[in-house]
Amino acid sequence: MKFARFRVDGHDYYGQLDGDRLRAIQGDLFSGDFRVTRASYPLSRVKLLPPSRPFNYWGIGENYKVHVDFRKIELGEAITRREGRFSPWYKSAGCIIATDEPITVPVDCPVLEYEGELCIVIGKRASRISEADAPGCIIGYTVSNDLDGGGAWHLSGLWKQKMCDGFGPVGPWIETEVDPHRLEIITRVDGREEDRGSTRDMVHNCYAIVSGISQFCTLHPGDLITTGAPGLTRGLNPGEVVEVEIPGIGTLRNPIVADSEA
Amino acid sequence: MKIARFIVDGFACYGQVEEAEVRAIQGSIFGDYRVTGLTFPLSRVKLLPPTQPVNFWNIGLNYQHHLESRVEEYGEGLRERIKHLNPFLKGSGSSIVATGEAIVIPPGLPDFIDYEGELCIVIGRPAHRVSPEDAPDYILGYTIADDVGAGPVWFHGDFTNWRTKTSDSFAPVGPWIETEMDPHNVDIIVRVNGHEEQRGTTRDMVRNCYEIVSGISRYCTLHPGDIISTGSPSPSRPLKPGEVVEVEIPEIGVLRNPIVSAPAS
Repeated sequence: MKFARFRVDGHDYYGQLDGDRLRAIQGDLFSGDFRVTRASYPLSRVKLLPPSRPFNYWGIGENYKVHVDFRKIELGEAITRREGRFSPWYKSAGCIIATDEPITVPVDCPVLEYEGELCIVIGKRASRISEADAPGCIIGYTVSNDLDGGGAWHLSGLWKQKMCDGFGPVGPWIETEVDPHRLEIITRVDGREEDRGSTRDMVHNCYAIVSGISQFCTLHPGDLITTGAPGLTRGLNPGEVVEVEIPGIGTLRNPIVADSEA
Repeated sequence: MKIARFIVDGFACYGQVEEAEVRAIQGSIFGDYRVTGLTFPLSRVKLLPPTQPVNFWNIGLNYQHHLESRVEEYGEGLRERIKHLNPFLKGSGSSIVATGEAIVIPPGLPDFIDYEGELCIVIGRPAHRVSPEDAPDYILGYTIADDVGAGPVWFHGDFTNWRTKTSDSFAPVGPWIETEMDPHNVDIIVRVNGHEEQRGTTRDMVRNCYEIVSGISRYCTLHPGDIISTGSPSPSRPLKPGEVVEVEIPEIGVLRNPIVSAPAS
């Protein structure tokens, strides 16, 4: 089932996707105590919002070998020594935007690179849970683009690299019934395929990730974890449109715009 | 004016602190509000962290004395790195705990923590690319933070500070927000088990509060309720379960947290 968070007539709701319509739900999606109402809206009439408002938005570093090998070209030994290590890092809830919202390239950003990824959505509070219990704490999965301010910004701290406004598109909705470890991740720019990966190639799988983070940092309903870039990337330019599709979930699509304030 | 967030009889709200009482506030402290006549003794309420931020920013190495001792330990390369503003995120949700709550050392980390008593900015209005001159208009007030850590990341074989800085309870904040003070002329006093360990002054900040708000807002919009912890004047020492750390800024109040070990699961 697909659940989207959306805005219509100035109000925000969760809704279940039914064909090309959203049927508003009443109650709390994450507790499971909800019902699907008869109030439905065509997708074309609503504005899709990010699938949740998390306390925490985590990323996982170096989670696909192909991507690590790609980053070695630029970063060398700094990446090599991190290979294999479980490396969660804190991305920031403040940078999250929805599908179709523009991504602004800060005027002094050397290069802004895409990273299309599978994103876990936490459903139930998880604190020091086992890998076996992790599936029960996950409500579903969505698509993310873990944008990366690269070049010289790789040396100036994670904040500008990963946390700038708009560097965290997430969406379009949550899919609750999908095997996360058998999914393709396809990234396109202006309609042309640029990168394709598979979640079969994750170094640390989704359940190990949720269990691992929860040993130290409680995960809350709505929290998001983006699970790593699978392959190659390149810099994006204002005027381009980047799409990340995960068949079985949906497509996250965002236009790139220039910084209006120099 | 001191504004606290608290819970009483299962109901959470904001209130104005006056002496040993708190008067409930109706409305939003980030917009329109009024102080009501509903009053509780402070002893009857449980103080909560002063806000639920979207982002809890933290500035490392913002005092010259602290920098010098780190340079001694880690080399001159550190000087170059702090020429540029380099905040990190402390974690929202369960990282943040109120005054009086325990700092809990989890299984899987060694049995000690470092404290860092700091002045903490509380944002009042959405701030996007504001100048240092305009920054005061975006600040609601100030509170106290203890930037707890579990030692350097490489000590644990890590490459990010995910568990050394963001573990549950590693971000005590409180006790409340003081809205009327000059942040650049206050003392920060740390006591362990009642004995004074450190005393510093915000006059020694390398970057002041307004420069910090301006610098972060250049790339990352600051939201009402966001908090920014502005660095500790001196390096810390390891503290163990059973000890109690207090951070006092006389114009604000005292943030006090006992240290405990988590029961092994």
